[in-house]
Amino acid sequence: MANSDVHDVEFNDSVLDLQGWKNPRTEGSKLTGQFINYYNDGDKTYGKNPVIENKVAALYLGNTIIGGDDEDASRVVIKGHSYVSVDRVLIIDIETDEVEIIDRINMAPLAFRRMVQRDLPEFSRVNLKLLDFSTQNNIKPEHNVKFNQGTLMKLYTYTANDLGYEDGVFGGFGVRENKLDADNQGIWGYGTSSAFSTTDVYKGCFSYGMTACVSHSLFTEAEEIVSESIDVVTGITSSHILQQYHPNPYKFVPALPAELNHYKGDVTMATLGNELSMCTASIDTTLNIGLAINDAYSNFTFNTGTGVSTGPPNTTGDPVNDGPAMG
Amino acid sequence: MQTAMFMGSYHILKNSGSVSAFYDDIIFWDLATNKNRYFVTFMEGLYGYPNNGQESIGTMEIDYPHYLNSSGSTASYDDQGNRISARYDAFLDYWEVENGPSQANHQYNGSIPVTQLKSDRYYLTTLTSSVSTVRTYHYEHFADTTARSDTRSFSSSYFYPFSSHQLSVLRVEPTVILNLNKENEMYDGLGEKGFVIVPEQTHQNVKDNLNYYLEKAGLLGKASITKSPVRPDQAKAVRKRKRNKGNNRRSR
Repeated sequence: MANSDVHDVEFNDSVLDLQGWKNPRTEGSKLTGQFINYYNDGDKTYGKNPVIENKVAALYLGNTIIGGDDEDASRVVIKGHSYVSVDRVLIIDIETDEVEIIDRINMAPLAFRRMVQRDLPEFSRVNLKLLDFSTQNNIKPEHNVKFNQGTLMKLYTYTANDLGYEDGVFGGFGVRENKLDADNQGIWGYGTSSAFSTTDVYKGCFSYGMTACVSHSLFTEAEEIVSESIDVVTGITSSHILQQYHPNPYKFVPALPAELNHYKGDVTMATLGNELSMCTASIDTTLNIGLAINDAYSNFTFNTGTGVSTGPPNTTGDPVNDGPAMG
Repeated sequence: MQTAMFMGSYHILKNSGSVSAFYDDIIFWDLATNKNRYFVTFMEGLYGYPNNGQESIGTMEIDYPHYLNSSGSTASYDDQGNRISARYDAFLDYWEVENGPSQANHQYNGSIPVTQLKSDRYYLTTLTSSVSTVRTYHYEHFADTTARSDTRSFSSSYFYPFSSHQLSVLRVEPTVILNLNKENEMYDGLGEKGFVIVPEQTHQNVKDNLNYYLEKAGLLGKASITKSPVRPDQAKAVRKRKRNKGNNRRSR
């Protein structure tokens, strides 16, 4: 490169293609990372350091831990888990070592909740420590945050029958497909059905029962019905059960949670859950309760979630693989 | 036993206690008007896929059915109104409407007790893992004394006999669910001072001096706890360069 008298610059255009020229001027130099605070294979970073770090200088304090093993009947039972409520936060200034405790009642509820949800995200690990050192405990060194949105206030408990009758209740496998109609307004129906030709949304659904009239009594309390006959020759009375007793599978809470206060006038708690759905009196539902399934409980196979599952038997005999391969 | 679709008082829910009416009048309506969030927890949290998240406690968030009926009823949700402010078929699918009673009204709740789940989670279980099971269910109701029946197939992760579940409404508060077995891990109770939770991403300086900061905040008794020295990798990123004054001065 040389200068002329008129200050024209002779410039080699090939320089423009050099990374060293382009990056700081036009393309930009950037680091990429998949996670905050973690290094992940494939990240473009210095060494194996996280691209972005966001460290917390806040500790969360509370006085209430309610066991998920039915310690409080108004909350959903989750075996081996606990509802841990946070009341205060201890903010620490790393530079000056100053500390400040903020009570939740002194903060906007939304702000306090967001702070908890940000610092205690789902899937994260936490350490829980009792402040009273004289209290004996057996606390694990580490716990996982399984849910951080709040408390699950129970509305009803459904207990599946132990008689071997299919009840139609299921929780969906897979991500729900958003197969909307042409106007993106909604779908015609859920499930694979001959009734629909436009949509086929059969993943990511939930059903709370099966309304076949033959299974109507499965969702109500059923008395035992016994048929007795007397042999006129021998005089021996024989009996056989026409219908086995089973309790109502729906057990509603005695009173709706405060979140549903505005519906209290619309329900009669004493009768709530008496049946799944109205059918008709024209069908005798006392002799059959549901559609018997052929697979015994013991036939179901389990896995640990880390390997390939054989899954439960289904109607075609083989499990259907329509999900992603999981490590 | 109820004998017909049109029997009963105005509120079929109040009259019959039907679970379908409960979902239609309260749960779906609440969801459609953004009043509350609802969750279903299967098998008391067992059999969930062990990913340390919501799936691992068998808990799914449900949504109201996003059906499209010829009337365009989904546009009529009014959070100031109640269920009857929207059309009776707001939560009924195409087949339920087509096969409903000739004088269908809000007392008709259809016969497909199915809705969709929220979010893009896979809701795996250890029952299914990467392999799902497809089950076919039968639905039926009588409309004008005529039997109407349909079958639907769904991909399921929880299913009979693993179909026991609890329905819940979310109480929005700063509460987290931890895999803490209180009975076993806190057999002697919480004590008088409560507990502290240390988040995973807490600054290392705080983790190293936890008792120091707790004592400084008045949460622990005075024990004259001193701070640990700062770890080398926690030092400030910009270090002051040592100056050798003698070398920098120019001699005159």
